[in-house]
Amino acid sequence: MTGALLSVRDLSVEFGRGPAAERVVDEVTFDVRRGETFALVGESGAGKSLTASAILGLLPDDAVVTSGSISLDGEEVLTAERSSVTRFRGSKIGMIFQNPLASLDPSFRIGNQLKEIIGLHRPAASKRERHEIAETWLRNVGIGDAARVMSAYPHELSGGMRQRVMIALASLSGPALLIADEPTTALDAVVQKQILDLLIGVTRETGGSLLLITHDFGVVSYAADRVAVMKDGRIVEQGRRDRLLAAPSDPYTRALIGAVPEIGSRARLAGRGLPRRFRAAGGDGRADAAAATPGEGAVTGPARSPLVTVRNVTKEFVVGGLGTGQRKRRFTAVRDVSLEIERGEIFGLIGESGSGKSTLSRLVGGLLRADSGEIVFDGRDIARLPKAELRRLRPRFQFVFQDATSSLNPRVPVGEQIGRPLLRFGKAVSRAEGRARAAEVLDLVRLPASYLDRYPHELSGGQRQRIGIARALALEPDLLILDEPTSALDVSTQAAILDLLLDLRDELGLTYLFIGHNLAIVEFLCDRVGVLERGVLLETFGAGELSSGDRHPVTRALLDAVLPIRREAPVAD
Amino acid sequence: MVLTASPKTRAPRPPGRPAPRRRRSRLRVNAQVTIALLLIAGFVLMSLLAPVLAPYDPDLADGGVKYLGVGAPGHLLGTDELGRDILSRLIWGGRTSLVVALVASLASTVVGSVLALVAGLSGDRAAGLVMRTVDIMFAFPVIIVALVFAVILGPGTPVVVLSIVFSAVPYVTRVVFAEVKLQRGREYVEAAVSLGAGFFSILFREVLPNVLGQIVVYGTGLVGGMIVFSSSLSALGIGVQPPTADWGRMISEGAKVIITGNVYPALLPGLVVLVVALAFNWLGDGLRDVFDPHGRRAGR
Repeated sequence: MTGALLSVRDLSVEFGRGPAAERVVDEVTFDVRRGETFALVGESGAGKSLTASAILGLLPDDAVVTSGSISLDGEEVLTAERSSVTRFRGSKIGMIFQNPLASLDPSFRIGNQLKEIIGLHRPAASKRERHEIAETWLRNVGIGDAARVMSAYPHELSGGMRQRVMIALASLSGPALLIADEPTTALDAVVQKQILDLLIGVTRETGGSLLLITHDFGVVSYAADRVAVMKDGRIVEQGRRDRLLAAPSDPYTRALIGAVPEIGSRARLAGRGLPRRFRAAGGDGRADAAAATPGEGAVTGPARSPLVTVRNVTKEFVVGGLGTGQRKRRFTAVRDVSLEIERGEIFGLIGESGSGKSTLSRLVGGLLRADSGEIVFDGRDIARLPKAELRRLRPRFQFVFQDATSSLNPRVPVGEQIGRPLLRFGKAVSRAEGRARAAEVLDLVRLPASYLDRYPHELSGGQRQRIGIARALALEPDLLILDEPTSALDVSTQAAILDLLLDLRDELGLTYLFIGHNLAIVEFLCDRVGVLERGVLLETFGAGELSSGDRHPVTRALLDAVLPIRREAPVAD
Repeated sequence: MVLTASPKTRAPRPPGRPAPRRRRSRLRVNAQVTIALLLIAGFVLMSLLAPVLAPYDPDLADGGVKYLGVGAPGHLLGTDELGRDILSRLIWGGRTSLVVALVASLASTVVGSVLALVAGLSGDRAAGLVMRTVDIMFAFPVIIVALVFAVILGPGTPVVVLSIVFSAVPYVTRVVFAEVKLQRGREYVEAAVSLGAGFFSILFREVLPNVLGQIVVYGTGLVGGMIVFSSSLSALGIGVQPPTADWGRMISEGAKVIITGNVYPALLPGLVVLVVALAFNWLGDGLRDVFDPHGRRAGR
C-alpha cells in the first residue's frame, strides 16, 4: 500500500483555445495508490469522465490539456509518444465503460473479441491457448457457461453479463490500473452489487488499483477506499471514505450526501419533527417545521374510496412471428394483478427491470388495453371503455415519463406542449388563455414563465422533467402516474423534483402511482408499496413496513441490493 | 439552499465545447444555401422573363445559320442543326424543364410523405398494405409506366410528371417511413396519446414537425435528378413534343449530331441541367445541415 501508482498533478483541461476557452477540468490533483479503490464522485458535468479520458490519452479533439502532469508507475503519460500511450492503454490501464453494449463490437462473437485482445498481449500464445485463457477469464468474472458465452454475440447477453465480459476484456492483461466509468449505472440494483463485488475481486486478484467514476454515494460507500468529490471541474474535497462520508467538510459534499435518498431517512425526519422533504434532510436547519406533515398518511377524507381499482388484470404480448425472423411466442407481462389506489395516497410499484412495472402503469393510465380483468377509475372501467370516452377521461390521469428528453417533443416550444392539450379539452378557449394557464403551471413547478418559448434542448435535465410534470398537471388530473421520473437525473436535482412532487401532492390533493427501482426513494415518498415479479404482484404493504421481517424473499432481495451510505465514525488506520 | 437552486444554474451540457466548430460550419452552410438559392432564383427569373430576354424566337429555324459556334456574331451561344438560336431555346426551355421537375418533385414528396406518415402511425396491417404497394411500384419498369400513361393521355408534359411521380413516390415513402417509425417509438408520441391527442393531431402536430426536415431535404434532392430524368423521357418522345424547347429534348436532339463534330447543341443544355441539378442538391445538402444539428442534438 505504499507509493502512488497513478499520480495526477494540477491537471487542467480546456475546450477551445484563447479567451473563449472553457475550463472543464481545473487543477485536479490526486493519487491512486497501489491496490486501492479510488472513487471520483460528482454530478454530470463535473469533469470526472474527462479526467479519466485524459489519463487514457483519449480526450476529444477539441480538448486541450493546458497544465499539469499525469504519471503512471513513474512514467509521464501526457508527454509520452503516441505509440507508448497505446501500449499503456493495453497493458497498464484497462477501461470499463458505462454501457457495455456500446463498447463491445456488435458483429463479433464474445470469444473472438477476447481472443483478439489476448493475441495482442501474448502474441506467442497458440490458438488453443488463447481459447483456454479466454474461457478461464469468463469463469473468473463469474460466468458459469463460458462455452456458450464464448460463441454468443453481445446482443444475446443481458446487461450484467455484458458488463462481466467487459471486465474480463479490460483486466485479462492484468493492468496495474483499472478505470471504471459508471460501470453499474445502467444495471439493476441486484446486478449492480454483483458487478461491484466482481470489480473489487478482480483488482484484488491482479493486485491492481481501481479508479471508480460514479455519481452514486451508495457505490462509493460500498466499494471505495478513498474518495475525491468533484464539482465544476474542481476537486472540492478528498480523503478516506469513512472520514469523508461521516464528516464531510465541504458544504457541497454535505449537500450532495444529504440529497441522497436513504432507507430510513423518512423515519429520521419524522422523529425530529421535520417535514418529509429532502431539503430538510440537508440538515442545515432551514426547514420550516410549520409545513410539516399536512396530508401525511394515506387517506385524508372521511370515506375510504379507492380512486383506482385493478381487478385480476392480465396483459400478454406477442413477440416475433411473420417477418421478424423469430418464432412467434407470447409472454405475460402482467398476470392476474389486483390492487387499489386510495385517493390522496402515493402508491409505489417496485421490482426488477422486466417485472412488468411499466406495463402495469400503462394499463392503469389507459395507454395499453388489458386482455382481461377490470381497471376501474373513479367508477368507470377503462379497460373496456370505448376509445372516444377513454379520450375524454384522459385529462384525469396523466403520465410523467422516465426520460423527459424523449417524452417532450423536441420540435415544439414548451408553452405549446403544455397549452395544446388544454385547448383540446376545452380547459382553455383561446391560445392566449392556454398560454396564461401554462405560465401558471410553470410557476407551480418553480420555473419562470419566460421558459414558455424555449425548446426542450435549451433546458437542463431537471428543468425538462419539471416541464414534463407541468404538462401533466396543466390538465388538473386526479392521478399522476410517475414512471421512474428521477432516474435520469443527478441526485441534487432528483431531491428537488421529489420534494416538488410531495409539495404538489399536498397543494393539489393529487394521487400518485410511483414506479421506482430505487427503494430508498420509494420508501421516502410512498404510502404503500406493491412488489412485482415477472408480472405477478407478490405483496403490498405500508411503506414503513418495508424492512419488516415478514416481507417476501423477493422484496428482501431488492432491499439487500440497496447500497447504504455507511456513516460510522472514522476508523484509525 | 444550494440544491433547489442548482437546476437553474447548471448548464444542460458542458457548454462551449462544440460551439466554435458549429459556428464555422453554419457559416459555410449558409454560404452554400445562399449560392444555391441565387442560382435557382436566377434560372427561375430567366424562364419567367423569357419573352423579354430571349433574343430570338426559340422555334425559328434559319437554314442559313446552322451549327454556329459559341460567340458567333448575333448568336451568343451559337445555333443548332436547324439554325435555331441556342441561347433563346435555353431560356425558353427552362419554362418546361423547371416546371416539370418542380411540380413532379413536389407532388412525389407530398404523396410519398403522406403515405409514409399514415402507414407509420396506423396499425401494422395498414403499414404492411402501404409498404407492399410501394414495393410493387418499385418493381415496375418506369419506361413501361410512362408508355402506358402516354397511350392513355397522349404524349406531353403531364405524362412526364405522372411518370416521375410514380417512380419517385416509392423512394420518398421508404425514406420517410423509416423516419416516422423511429419517431413513433419515441416517448413523446406516447405522451401525446396520454394527453388526449387524436390520430391527426399526432400525425401533423407531433410527428410531422420532427420529420419535416428530412422530407424537405429529400424533396429538394429529388429536383436535380428529376430534370435529368424528364429529359430522358422527352428524349424517348413521350414527353415534351417538338418543336417546344426543353432542356432534355435539346440534349437528345443535340446528341444525334455530336457525331458530326458539333458538340454545342448538346453540351450547352447539358451544362445548364448540371448547374441546376447541382444547385438543388446544394440546397438540399445545406438544408440538411441547417435542420440537423439542432434536431439531432435535441433528440439524443
